[in-house]
Amino acid sequence: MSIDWITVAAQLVNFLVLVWLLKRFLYRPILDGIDARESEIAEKMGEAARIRENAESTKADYQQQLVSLQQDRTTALEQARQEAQTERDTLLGQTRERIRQEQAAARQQQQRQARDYIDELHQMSATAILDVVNKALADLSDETLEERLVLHALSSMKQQRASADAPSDEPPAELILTTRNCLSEPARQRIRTSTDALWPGCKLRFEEDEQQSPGARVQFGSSQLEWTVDTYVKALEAQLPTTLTSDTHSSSPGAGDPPVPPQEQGSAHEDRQP
Amino acid sequence: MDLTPDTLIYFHIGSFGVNATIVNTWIIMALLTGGAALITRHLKPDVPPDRWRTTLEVVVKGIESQIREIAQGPTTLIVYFSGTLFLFIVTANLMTVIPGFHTPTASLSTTTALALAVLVAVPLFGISRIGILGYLKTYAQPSPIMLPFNIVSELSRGISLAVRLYGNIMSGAVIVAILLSIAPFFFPVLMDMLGLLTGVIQAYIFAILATVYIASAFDSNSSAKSVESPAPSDQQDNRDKEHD
Repeated sequence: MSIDWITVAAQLVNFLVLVWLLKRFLYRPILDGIDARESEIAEKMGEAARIRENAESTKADYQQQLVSLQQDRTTALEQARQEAQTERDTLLGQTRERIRQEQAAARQQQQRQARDYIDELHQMSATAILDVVNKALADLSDETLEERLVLHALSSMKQQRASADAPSDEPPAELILTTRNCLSEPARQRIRTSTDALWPGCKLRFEEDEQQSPGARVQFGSSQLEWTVDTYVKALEAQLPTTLTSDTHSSSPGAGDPPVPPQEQGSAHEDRQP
Repeated sequence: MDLTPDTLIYFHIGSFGVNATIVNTWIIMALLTGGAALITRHLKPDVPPDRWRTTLEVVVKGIESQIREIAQGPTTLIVYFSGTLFLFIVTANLMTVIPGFHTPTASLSTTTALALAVLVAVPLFGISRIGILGYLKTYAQPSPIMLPFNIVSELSRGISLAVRLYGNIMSGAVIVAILLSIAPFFFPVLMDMLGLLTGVIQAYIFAILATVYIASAFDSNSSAKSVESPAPSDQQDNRDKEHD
């Protein structure tokens, strides 16, 4: 065990050289590379952290927008539902109103039809009654009834001439009294008395017409007066619609009054022929 | 049987005979430097490391972490020094398995040189921290009576380092040589395997002890400065930074 001091010096120099060589080719490159890589990794991690932060911010923004959109959608849906409900209620109300109006119109129409039907029924009933009355009067009339009818007709004529301007008229030269049946002589005498009172000095001639309704038709000159069962029933028939209408629709106390007889209305028919 | 490779002269440079210790040291230096240069020649931060570079990074960072656990403050220069000690010794010890290769660490001259390097490095690191006067004062701590004991302790450290490494490696090489002559087919293999383990452990012990000595010089300097100055650590750190 000996020490070669020259070798010791050489090894000492060798070791120092090795320290420098390893520092130059091993430690510095490795440690600097590690430091550079660490700094690069730190930089990239910082950048990644910034990107992550931006991504988180963007995500938060998107989530906020998503929440806002969902709220808007919910609000819009609720508003649309309310509007639809309101529109439905409005349409239902309009439909109900229209149905109510149509039902009212239909009810009025039904009432009008019923009223028309009742009127028609009354008209038909009255017409039938009048026909029956006319037929009964025609069937039951005889010389006596016709004499009374003629006298009643002359009485009416007399009243008409008394209330009108007849006195200024010129008395006719001849009167033609037409009846359905042949009047008896006493009846003719009473009729002459009556005509003399109306038209003094006037010549009276009696005629018969089997086609004529019971009653009297007085013809003088170009004018004639007629008071027969036909004209009486026709006058009643002409008055019938007014009477039925007032009976059906009017609630006035006079609505139920019986029709005015034709003679009382001056309905002795007078045709003036040219 | 040669107990040291110093006696094996390969060639002469003038009157100086270049022995196997120096030549094999050069071979180891060439291996370490060439390998490191080859691996780190295309080293760039943005290039992913390959397996060789990763291996070197593991080795260097392992050395750095070990030293950082022991020493306080900046450790870059200590890494250069102690790391080179470890790499050189472990490479030399592992190359004992190569037949005919005379490892330099089996030479007392080499271990003495390494111990001298440590003996010189310890005061240099201490002086670089607190100056030469401050470092010399540490030998008189805790009292001037301890001055000769501290000097003897410092010298014994180097001697123990040198003899420990030399004794372990040389003894292993001698035992393998003896066993080769007695039972050349089995026991030398076992002893070589044991020598590998012993060589790695001795390299680790040598480097760690050197680091501990340097760190103890730092700690004693720090304690001495703490007595004199209220805030020594800041000034020391600043000097360390300037030194680095």
